[in-house]
Amino acid sequence: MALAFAPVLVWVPLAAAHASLVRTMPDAGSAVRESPAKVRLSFSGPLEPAFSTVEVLDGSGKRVDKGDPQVDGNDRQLLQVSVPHLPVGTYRVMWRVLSVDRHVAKGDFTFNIAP
Amino acid sequence: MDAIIFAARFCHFLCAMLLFGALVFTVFVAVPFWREADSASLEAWRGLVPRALVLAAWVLAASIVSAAVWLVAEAAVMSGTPLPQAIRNDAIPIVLGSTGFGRLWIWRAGLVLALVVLLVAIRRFGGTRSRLRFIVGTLPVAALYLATLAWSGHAAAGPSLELVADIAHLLAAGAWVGALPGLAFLLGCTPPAAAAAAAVQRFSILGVASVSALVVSGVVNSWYLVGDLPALIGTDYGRLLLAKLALFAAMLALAAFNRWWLTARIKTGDGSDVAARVLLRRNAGVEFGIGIIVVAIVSALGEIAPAAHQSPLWPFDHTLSWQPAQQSLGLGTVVVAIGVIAILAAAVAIAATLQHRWRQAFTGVAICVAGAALWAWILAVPAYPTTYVASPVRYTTASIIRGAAVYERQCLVCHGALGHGDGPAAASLSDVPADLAAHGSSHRPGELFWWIAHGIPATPMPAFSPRLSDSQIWDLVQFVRAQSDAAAATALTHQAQPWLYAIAAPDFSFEPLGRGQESLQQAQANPITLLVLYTLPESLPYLRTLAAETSAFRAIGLRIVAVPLSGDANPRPVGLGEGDGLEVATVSADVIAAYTMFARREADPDNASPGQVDYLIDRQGYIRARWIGIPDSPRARVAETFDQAELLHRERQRAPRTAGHMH
Repeated sequence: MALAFAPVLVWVPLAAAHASLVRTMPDAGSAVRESPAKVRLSFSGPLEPAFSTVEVLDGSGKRVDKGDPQVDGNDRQLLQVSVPHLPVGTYRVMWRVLSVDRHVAKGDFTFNIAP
Repeated sequence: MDAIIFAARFCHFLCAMLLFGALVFTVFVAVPFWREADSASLEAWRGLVPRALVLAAWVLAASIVSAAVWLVAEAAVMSGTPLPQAIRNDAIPIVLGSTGFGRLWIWRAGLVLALVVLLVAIRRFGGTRSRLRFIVGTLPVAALYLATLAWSGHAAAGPSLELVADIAHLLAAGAWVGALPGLAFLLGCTPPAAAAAAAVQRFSILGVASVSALVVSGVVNSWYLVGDLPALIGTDYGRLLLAKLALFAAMLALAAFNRWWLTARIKTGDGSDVAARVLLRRNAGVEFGIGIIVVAIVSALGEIAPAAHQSPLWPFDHTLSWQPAQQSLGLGTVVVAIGVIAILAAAVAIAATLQHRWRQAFTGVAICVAGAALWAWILAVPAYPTTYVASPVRYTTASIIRGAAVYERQCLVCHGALGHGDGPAAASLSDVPADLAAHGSSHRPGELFWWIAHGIPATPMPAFSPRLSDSQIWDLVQFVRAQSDAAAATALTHQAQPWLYAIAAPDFSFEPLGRGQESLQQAQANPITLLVLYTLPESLPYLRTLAAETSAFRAIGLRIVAVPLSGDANPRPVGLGEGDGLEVATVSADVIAAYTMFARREADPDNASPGQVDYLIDRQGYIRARWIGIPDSPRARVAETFDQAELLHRERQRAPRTAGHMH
């Protein structure tokens, strides 16, 4: 009976053109044991590499990433930056992206490195 | 900056549409008219041509200026710097060279150059035939100039169908709105009745083709940009779109009046055609004016996020839902009966209209309307502003456990530990607290959010906002969903359950030893996952057997995530050496707590903690099978698991279900 009445408002999730942050690696607010090689941000739509940037700051606000933010060549929804081996502590990731349909978005999140 | 971009967009779109529309009009309506008109009107027309060319030059110039302004303003927005600074820095060259928008602008600059050359050529070649050739040659260039604007909008990042629909929409709009001034000019030349009527007839064909293309492409675009009714009514984008549709309807009504009422009158050669012609000319002008307002709305729409990506706020007290029909067999039958009657009445009405039997048609339409009203009355359910809002917090173990903490402090006293409405204070309440475990999953998350935040009037359920923050309430909503799913999880067996009723596996991140952090759900290509919550040393034989089979599992795309139930921070299973193929991972405590919720069984509802729980999670992220306890025969268990995983491996890919679906 339930199948006979399909929902009135069928909503199919579509690949979003407007880029918003979907997930990150390391997970926002999570604690990891080992320092990651790269910090990855996955967005809901393709990005323009020219105006998309991300940086990693340590607890005192000093920039600690390697300064090479880039949009992945194969997956234009993925933005990443390499980091050197980081000591234990809390880190803040600040990002600003331009999606292909000209919308700008920015934000930040934190993660911890704890043994 | 938004105002500058809006003005530049508006001017640029209008100019591109005017250029294309004027050329379409010239080729399809004006040229045949020249052949049929008498010498007097032809003279009047020829006098207009130089003025038309000057106008075209001005429009082209305006489009160039507005394109330049748009580019500079866009560079400021993209680089995040104020306008003067963006001009001084090299933001503009970066935009031109390295962004899709900039590269598009370079192509369009080439088209503008071609248009300038062609316009000069049209002016120079006074001879009719070569001028005509140049006009026809300019048409595709102007079409490209208008069509390439599709790449500057949302369609640039979407699927190809959206782009095709956008291009069709632009060209159809340009052909219609841009040709209206030409029609007004032509009628102003006081041509003879037959020629005028023929020209208007040809314009009508153009109009009908345009309108059809606009409707079809508009529906396709709305599917991608809006998606559903709540987004259409509940967002600024949707409401602007409704305004655009209303204006389009007004234009359509005028055009229909012109086509069916006035055109017939123009055909007659007696004096009445003059009045009709004047009225038609004025109507064309009014249509054009409305068209300009529509282009302004379109320019505003292009700058805001599409409705599909926003949280819709439902403005009404009620909404329509199939739930009343699903829950009562009697009502369901009535609904189906009304539907059948309405369809029959509609068919009769259409047939009657075609045969000009107006009374029958009217009756048919009246029955349809009555049926729709009855449906609206039966299918109406209460709704709230947040009913269609999707949770901004993802369904993760972290959110669920945060919500569990809030539940324990605020909700448990009435709703009970498992959500059945049997808390310590429940007996003293005037209304029995809702059985959250039974109903939690069948309500939209936005509804749960509203009830928790604002309470339920005339019941003991209080409002928890602003005592709880919005994100705390969303965590609570996720916990209620998990609690409800945990009750449903008692039905999980060793065999893969049908997808339609399976519960979702909350996302979490884990760190395999020696590797970086991963998450259950991945951006691309989710594997099938076997999540093993184990206890040492009892689970060791099973883990060893699993380790021996990992290559077979990998062949069917299965990933094994083994996690100690004790939450041990240093989990190296004793007896498993390096390179044994089984990956053990550390997770935070909320993962264990959340997934233990789904380990309840009918037989012992408040069970002692099992020594081991295995979950088989499919590619879409739903828990399809579950094994509880340490297996007596590890080999048999591993074989069983492998069989179920293989079944899932052979299943076809599916789009994920919406949150808040109804059973």
